[in-house]
Amino acid sequence: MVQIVISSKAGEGPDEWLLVELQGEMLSRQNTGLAGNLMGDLHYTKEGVPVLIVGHHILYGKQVKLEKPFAVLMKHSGLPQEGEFLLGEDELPHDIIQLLQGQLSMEHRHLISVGAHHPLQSPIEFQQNISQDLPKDSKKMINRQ
Amino acid sequence: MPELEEVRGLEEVRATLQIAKLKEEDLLPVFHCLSFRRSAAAADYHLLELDPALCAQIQAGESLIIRGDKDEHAVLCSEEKTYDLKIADTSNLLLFVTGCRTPDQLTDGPQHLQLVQAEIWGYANSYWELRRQRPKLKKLKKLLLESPYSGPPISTQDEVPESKYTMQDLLDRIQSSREELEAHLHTIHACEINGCWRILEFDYELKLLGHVTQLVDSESWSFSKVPLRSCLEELGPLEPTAMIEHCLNCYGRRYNTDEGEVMFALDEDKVCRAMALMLLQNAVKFNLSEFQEVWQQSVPEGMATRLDQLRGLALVDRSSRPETVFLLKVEDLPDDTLERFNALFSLREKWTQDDIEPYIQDLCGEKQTTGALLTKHARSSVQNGIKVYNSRRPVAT
Repeated sequence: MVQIVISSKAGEGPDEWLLVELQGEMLSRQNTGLAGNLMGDLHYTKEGVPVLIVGHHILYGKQVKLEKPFAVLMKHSGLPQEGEFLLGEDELPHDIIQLLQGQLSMEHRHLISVGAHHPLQSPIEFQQNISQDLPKDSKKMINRQ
Repeated sequence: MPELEEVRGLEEVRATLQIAKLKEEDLLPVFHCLSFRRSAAAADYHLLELDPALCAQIQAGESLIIRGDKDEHAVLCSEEKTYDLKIADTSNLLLFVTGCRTPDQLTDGPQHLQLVQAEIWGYANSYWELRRQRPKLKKLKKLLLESPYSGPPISTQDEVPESKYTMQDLLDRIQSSREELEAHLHTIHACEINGCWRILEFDYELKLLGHVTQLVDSESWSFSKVPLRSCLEELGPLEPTAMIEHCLNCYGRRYNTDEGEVMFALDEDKVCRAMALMLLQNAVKFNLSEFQEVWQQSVPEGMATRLDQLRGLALVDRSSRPETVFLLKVEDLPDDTLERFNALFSLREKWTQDDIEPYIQDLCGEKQTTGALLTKHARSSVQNGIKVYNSRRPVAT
């Protein structure tokens, strides 16, 4: 039987984690992958409304308290191969768990009208979900208050 | 320092704000630039949805273990609970970001402008949902029955080295949390002998119990005041003292007197059940009134047998003439809810709630009642003024 121990290693990895939920997909414009690339700018209005600028899109949202907190599992060591069972608890592969402190849920958006001579150059392209127009219930959204 | 190809500067951010027609004076003075880490990849991260209690346990430093059997779904175990892991897809993109402040943290924040480079460590389209479930414990008894204990070996040749399991061996094979496993070991009267968990051969267990009850009788002790020390002294020559004490733990409640002496209060119901099991396991069914007579005679004097002690162990058939009783142990029935109901309805077409309850009680989820289960899996009708339940679907016999 495969067993993986998950624990939170204090001091390992950053402390503050945030979950940002976007209705859409991220694509790499030049097919170079997302890694290492700038995504966008995040601002907050004086009323505390998060505003995210991604390429041509402006997303507005809200800060949400998660009823059921999320955790991120990161592989610490590789999963055991077939046949590598029967390990003591200390020898089992460990994953690190990080708790997500809060969530920004980005919903509404509009496009920035941009003139041809002001390209908002971003290596990342954001594609809004087409299902934006469907009634709210038909989308699976993360539980929220 | 974040591992980025390029670092975005304040001028660029301001330029973008201008194009986006947002005014700097309407914003809080902390601007974040979000970038994907060079090592960001979806595959190495999993999002897990927790409940607040689990969250608190993790923060307190406790570990969780994912246990996956080859043919079964993976489960997540805390120290005391078992959860089913299920993937939930979302059409949304979930990014996990570090170094990012939230509006509520900035209410009395810096007055001067700050530009923060925040990192996106990873992203996901799906997450794991946890659902509390009953641990898969049927396997436990099966494993332990590979090598039941029937007393100290007569010779070294009787000792079979294989098929014996330590606690860690059991945790490695059974999808359950440690506490639930320990609780079940206690329920099936398993005993740790030489570091391995063993289930007792029933005849041996009865033998031990017989020794104890006979001693109680000959010493004229009260059933609620059985002294441990005397038991061990008197019965030690007959059986290992550890086994005598184990028997007392299984069939009694341990307590200390004011003088600090260890005593046991024998549990009448448990003792009577053991006697009933002894009688019933040797026959397909018994004439009810004959059984009740023999049963009462078999229990220690001073103890009273009652039919409700047989709940989950035996079933009374009041429709037959004469009325009969037969062995039906809930732990011999299927674990899966649908299969369990099928088995019960194959046995008997219509059940009263009182009769069926002990056989479905363990199927109830947290905060679920047997009534709710019956509503879901059975159809009710009234027969002779009594509410009865039958199967919703044709039953495979």
